[in-house]
Amino acid sequence: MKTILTYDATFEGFLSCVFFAFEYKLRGARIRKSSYASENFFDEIIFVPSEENKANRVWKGLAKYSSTEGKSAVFKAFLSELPDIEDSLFHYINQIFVKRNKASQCIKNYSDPHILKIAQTVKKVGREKHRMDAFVRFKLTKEDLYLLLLHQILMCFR
Amino acid sequence: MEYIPIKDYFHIFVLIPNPQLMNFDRIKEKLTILADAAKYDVSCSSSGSKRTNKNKGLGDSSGMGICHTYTEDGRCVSLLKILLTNHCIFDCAYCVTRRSNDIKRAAFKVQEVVDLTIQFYRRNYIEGLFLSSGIFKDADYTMERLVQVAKKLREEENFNGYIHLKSIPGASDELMRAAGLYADRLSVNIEIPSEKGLKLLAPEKNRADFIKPMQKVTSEIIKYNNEKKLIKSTPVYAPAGQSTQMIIGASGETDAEVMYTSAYFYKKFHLKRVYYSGYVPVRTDTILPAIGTDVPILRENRLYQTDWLLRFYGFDVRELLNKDHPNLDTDIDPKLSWALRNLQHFPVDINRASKGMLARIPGVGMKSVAKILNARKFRKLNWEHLKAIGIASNRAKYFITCDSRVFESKDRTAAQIKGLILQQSKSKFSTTYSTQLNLFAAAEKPLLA
Repeated sequence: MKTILTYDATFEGFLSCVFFAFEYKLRGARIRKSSYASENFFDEIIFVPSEENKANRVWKGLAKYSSTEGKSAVFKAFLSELPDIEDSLFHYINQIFVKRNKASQCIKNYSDPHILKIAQTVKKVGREKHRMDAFVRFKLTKEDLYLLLLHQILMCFR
Repeated sequence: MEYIPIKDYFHIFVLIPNPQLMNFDRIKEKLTILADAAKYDVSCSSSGSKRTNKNKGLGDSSGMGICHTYTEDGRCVSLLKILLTNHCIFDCAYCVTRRSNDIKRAAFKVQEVVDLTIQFYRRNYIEGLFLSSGIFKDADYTMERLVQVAKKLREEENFNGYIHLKSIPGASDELMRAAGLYADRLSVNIEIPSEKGLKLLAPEKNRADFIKPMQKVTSEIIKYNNEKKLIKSTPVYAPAGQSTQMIIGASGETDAEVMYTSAYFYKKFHLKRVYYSGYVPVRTDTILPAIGTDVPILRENRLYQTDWLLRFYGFDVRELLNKDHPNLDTDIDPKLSWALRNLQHFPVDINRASKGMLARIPGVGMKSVAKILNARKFRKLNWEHLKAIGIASNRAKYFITCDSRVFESKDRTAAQIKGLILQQSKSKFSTTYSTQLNLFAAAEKPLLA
């Protein structure tokens, strides 16, 4: 039987889940988006509402114990929306709060598969962002405005 | 996310300048001629410069390498790459715009280049301008025009994007100084790696003319950097440094000659990059490879690999190329080739070796080296870790040991290792280095073109 915490697919929601997991000592819990449907009958699914002050406390904690790079990695990897990225992130955040004074080094532990996955995902997200910088094309309209149709570009990468 | 290369972008932006331009058709024609002529310059990176946006001006050049648009043959074009003119007083054998060649000539006015750059930049087609030129009248006259374009962009249009200017061989020191104040990168193409080759193919030019502007810019960069240490408001001078380009396979140099020249330029003039451009046959002549000869793509690739080994991996050029090995191997990369010649240094223990030694293992790049160095602070690494980090273990496994009892324990000779690696790997260049006649490949590509 597993405990699964679900959230509303926002970053605040995710951090609230982390807060919830620490509050109720559910270190082994999994975090999933609320659209997640369990594969079996016995999992306990708890929906965690998104709460800004709880999310802020987690975020401040991350800022306190990890480096700037280590903190922003959490956000960037979250943006990837990969199916199981929450597990890797939760594992990593756990490491940060367990190690505390050594936490700033955590992001460089490439021997840990979860952290390696985060590092690689951060790279992917950065590339995607860079492609947006590079491939959007503006058109000059008659009203002297520069216009951009983003969805056409997005279609190119699907 | 799947990446689909967007073809033909190069042509799109050659074909559509802003339709609201004054004489649209004429500009379009000029662009077609002069952008096509500029394609023989391979340098297209716009990295290494940090110019921030000032006074709410237009754009900035951030530090990232920009790979913007892709041409049909897969090269990226991030810069509006054009010639100011393709009129030229010189008659260099390897060049399309040489005096004696019968081609359509055109020239831009200074203001036209400025307008085009701004329009393309605003529509996010380009990150900046790459401006080169044929030499008309004399070197100073041409250089002055180039500097004017850069000056107008910076001062009148408040443009903070990337500008790459060609230094014209033989231009005066004053102009070179001015050029560096407006441009991010300057480059002189030395074109032919050896002096004897230059005599043969471009008898009107001499080496000293190439060196002079390069020398001037190098000394200015050093001067400005020193001043910057004392006075913070010193203006930036060519922040992305200098580069140069050599044509490969036109005048019969060995790889060693090419790389020794390049190492000399890196050391003497602190160049940021040397580009190697495989010679694209442009004329029927006895002194140059004939039209229809393959462009030496594989050789170009091996030279770049060697270049990287010199700049980032701590190799000395004499280790890779020397009297006994004047040419790089075609079938294996230069690092593997070095390792096979120096098996006494291997196997290397991944968990103990120095950074310099890790960098010398075939199949391990600098990114992996950095990851290994960080990861091994936490625990001893085994094969699973190394594979996850992303080393090419099919090559590396013959040269390393790690925290595992499984390793290549047989005492193999260099030839055996090479054979095994070649057996297990497939290179995209494998068709180019097979000398054996192939029944089916012949149908795709006629042997005698």
